[in-house]
Amino acid sequence: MARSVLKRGPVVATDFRSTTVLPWAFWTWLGLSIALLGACPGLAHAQTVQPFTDIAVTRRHEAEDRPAGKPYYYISREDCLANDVLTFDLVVASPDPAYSFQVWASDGETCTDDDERSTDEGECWLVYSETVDSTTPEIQIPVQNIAAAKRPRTTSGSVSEGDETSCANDIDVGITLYFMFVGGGVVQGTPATWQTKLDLKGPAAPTDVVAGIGDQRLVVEWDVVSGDKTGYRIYCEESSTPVSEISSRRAHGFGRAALLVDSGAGGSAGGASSGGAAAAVAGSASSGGGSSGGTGSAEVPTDSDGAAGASGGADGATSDLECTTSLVAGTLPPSDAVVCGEVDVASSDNGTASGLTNSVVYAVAVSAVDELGNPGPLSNVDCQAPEDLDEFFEAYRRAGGQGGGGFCSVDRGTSGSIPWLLAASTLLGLLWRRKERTGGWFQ
Amino acid sequence: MKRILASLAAATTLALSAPLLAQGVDDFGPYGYSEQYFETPQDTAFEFRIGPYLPNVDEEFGGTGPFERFFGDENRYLVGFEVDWQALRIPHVLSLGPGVGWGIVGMDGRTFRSNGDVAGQTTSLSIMPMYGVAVLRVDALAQQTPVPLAAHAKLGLGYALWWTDDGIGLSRDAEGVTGEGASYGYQGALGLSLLLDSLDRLAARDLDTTFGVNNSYLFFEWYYSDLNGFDAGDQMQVGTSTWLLGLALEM
Repeated sequence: MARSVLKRGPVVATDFRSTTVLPWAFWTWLGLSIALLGACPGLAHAQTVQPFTDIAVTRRHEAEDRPAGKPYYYISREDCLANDVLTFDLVVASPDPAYSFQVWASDGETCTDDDERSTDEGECWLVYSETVDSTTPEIQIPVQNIAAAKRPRTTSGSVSEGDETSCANDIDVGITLYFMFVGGGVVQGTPATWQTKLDLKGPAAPTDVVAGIGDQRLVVEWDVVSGDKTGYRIYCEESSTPVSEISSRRAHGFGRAALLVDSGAGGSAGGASSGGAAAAVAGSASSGGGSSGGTGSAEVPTDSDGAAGASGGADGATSDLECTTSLVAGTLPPSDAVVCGEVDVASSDNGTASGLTNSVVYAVAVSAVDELGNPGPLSNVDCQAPEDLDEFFEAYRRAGGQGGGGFCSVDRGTSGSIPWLLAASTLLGLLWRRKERTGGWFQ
Repeated sequence: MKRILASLAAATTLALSAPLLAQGVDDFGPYGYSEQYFETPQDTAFEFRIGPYLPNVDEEFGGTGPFERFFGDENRYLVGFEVDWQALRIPHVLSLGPGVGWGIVGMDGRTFRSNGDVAGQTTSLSIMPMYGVAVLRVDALAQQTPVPLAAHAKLGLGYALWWTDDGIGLSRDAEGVTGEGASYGYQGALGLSLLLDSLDRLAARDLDTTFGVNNSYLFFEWYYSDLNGFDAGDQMQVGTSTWLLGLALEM
């Protein structure tokens, strides 16, 4: 696989290998090492990794919204699905092929502790293991190995390799990588560490999403929920449901109003909120449960748990609006889902879905996004169709108003102001002349 | 008798001179100053103003028109300022001179579907009124009697820039005419001001000696503008009749 280094990263210091401590610590250590090696030749095999003097971390996958600074090296779900590769250029004092060079990962425990690596109760997992015979080895670690995070934990010395399923883990933890030589199950020399964060978990979904009608757009509102979000993405999917069906059920521009109107009537999509996957989406899907009298118009796909979605039911009852869609509340947005609007304010409770076609029904759902760009699960899905709207200026002109056309569009034939301007100018001129002659204002 | 009169005269002299002797400045500022003090020159007034603003757009449609339908009749608020040059001034009596003002007000409104229902998208109208007026301020009452009230009148020309947004961008009608324009016309105001100096004269003097603020007023003003191009019929009437509240500083 061709490696494409897109960015070189800063050194990330740890508490016991801080760059600020390193100069005197390094020379002290070097002096002691030389003295010890001279006195005890048997210790010559003690290996030392010095990643923080010359280390350069690069990553292959360049995500669009990756934050700057330290979070640049954090691992998001997108990074994981792309199986990003972190490349470390290390400096090793005196490599010995007799030892295995290993990189262990931990989300809290110290991997230099043999028990954490070699027992069933250990909390570290092996993400890299090779023989190193160069003083400047290049270590490549797929982030899926890190995301595999103890699934399964290995105690056999083999690398815990991850795959795409590893990226589905609901994880948001700090990760420390331990670079070290291991011989006979014992750490040789002084290990080095590097810290990052594994965040595969998006924020909680906003609730009560409602799409209001706009012109070639939909105005989407939601209720904000707490979490580590930094913004929102609005997903739109064109529905095959005819617009006539939507408009016949909706008496108002906003679905919320429709929900209020229809709140006691009929059923709604059943199990959609309980892990189900409903293709027929109801404005009140989050209410779950209801089954009597739903319109039952849609397909009923299932999610990974096999739970049924919209229950459907008897026809003819007044129901909240529905449309067919593959967007499913409570699940992660599909990889091919279309983002039709973004909001980068965490506290915002509305946004606009744009680029839409009038008189076409769209299913709309909202997902909160965290610092790393991880989208959370989808909100409830609302359905709406943009349409041509009547707005103020059009109505003003239609009613006969003549204003508009630009700031400089005032009819030049309108001369009623000229006498006033002349009078004001004359008065100011006279006052100024008086000031110049008398040397001051009237006092 | 002479001794008594002499004693009274001496006591009176002492009493009158006592405040002068007690004048000074301590950690809390100046104290003991007499009514007479040096006033810094005054030739400018500055006003900060705020108040409801509902443009009379529908005036040309007989009072009921598109503005009320889209924006309703609830008040929106204008924020602005005015600077006056008190070119003619009779101290403690009146001042007369030109003034210029600037303000801004914005309002969001509804849009409607073809069936008349309210849609989710919003529309907006922003107005930036400006004016040049002659300003007459009469402060004789406030300066020469215990009644701390002054009055002012303004008359001149108003000019406003306005623009509308349809929720996507600048509005356009079916023929592509952009929803932005300028309107001008008459402008006037009548106001009553409360001289704040009367609440704390020492502080007022400090304000004058330190910052050159001779007088400060809290004012209430009836504000009128007729911005329709002097009935030319080719401009949106964005003037209004309203009241404003503000703070005025004479410097």
